[in-house]
Amino acid sequence: MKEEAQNPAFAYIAGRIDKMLVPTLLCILANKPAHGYRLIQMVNESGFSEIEADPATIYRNLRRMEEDGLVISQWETENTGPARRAYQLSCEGHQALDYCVQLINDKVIRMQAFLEQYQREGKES
Amino acid sequence: MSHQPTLKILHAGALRKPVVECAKLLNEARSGLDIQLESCGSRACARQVREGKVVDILALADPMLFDELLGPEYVDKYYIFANDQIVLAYNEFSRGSGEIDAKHWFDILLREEVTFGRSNQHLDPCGYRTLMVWQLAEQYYGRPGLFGQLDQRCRGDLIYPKSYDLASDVLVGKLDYAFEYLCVVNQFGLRYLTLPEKVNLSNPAHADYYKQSSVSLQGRNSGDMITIPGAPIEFAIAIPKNAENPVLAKEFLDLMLSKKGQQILEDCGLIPY
Repeated sequence: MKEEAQNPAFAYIAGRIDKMLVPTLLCILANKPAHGYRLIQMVNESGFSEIEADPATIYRNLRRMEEDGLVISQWETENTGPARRAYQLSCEGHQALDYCVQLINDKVIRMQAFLEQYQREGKES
Repeated sequence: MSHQPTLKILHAGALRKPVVECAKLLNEARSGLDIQLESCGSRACARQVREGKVVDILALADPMLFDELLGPEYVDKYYIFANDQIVLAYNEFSRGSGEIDAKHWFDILLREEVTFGRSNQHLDPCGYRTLMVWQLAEQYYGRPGLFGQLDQRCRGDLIYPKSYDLASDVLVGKLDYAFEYLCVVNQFGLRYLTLPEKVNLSNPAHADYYKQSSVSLQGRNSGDMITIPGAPIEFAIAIPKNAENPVLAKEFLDLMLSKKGQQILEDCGLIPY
């Protein structure tokens, strides 16, 4: 974990884990590739992200994730009709998702401990 | 006599700056090119191609136009490359601009002394999108009759062939306000009011909400009418099937869709895909 956290992309994720936007994008893309338009809808439908998923925010994050090697994008050019830039998770993106899960898990454990202590103290007082 | 390669680009007025910037880049990379740029409202662009105009690149302000007016005879593939929103543009001397905000903009527009414009819905997607914005505003703000009031006040000379000219008239003070794309407002350095997301047609998360609005337009053939529903604002680009220089067109298209192109689009106020 210590070694992974030294990766600049992972440090960026750790600094913004509370916002839950990058973990949500990684989690959606782990299931199947998607284009930005659909990702905006899916992030909003999920209710996981603390940030409003407007197009500027989502595309800025996707571009950064691509620069960091977490996602790969390519234009869908196989069929006729409308083509969109589709994003898929890279191997490093899967590792980043595992890292997010661990960070979230640690946070859940700490929050659970907080709630338990609060409830214990509430009963005692 | 040497033959100078020519690239003919027909584009939505709103895309003027990014198209010009990409054309400059291509010119730098391949000297000796003759790049011919022409712009008008996107519906008018699509109709010109249908009526026989031959271009190498067609960049429009609504992807739907490729299916509705051009596919599959003229275009069989198009790339949806950017997103934008409708804002209310004004200048520092626009009447009521000191008081305007996202809750009361329509009250200021409806004042007798205030003028505001929009583009023609039959020529320019910004025109039908403005009508959709007014319909959505009527619902969002709970103001029955608001669409009709705005429509009644914005008639005749206040309806322009393309949104780019509208911005120019706001800049010189001929109009107090105009409904514009954010990218055009940025290109002109105008002031603007951001409208609520459920009204400004920017966010795919509200696509179902936007669908409640609709506008009737002339269809493919004269006399045909079609009704189009509201949708998030997107821009698209294609190489028509009858392009005279498809190789050069592909170079331009690749440039628009590249990282450099994305940066140019972002610098021009668009959200690149």
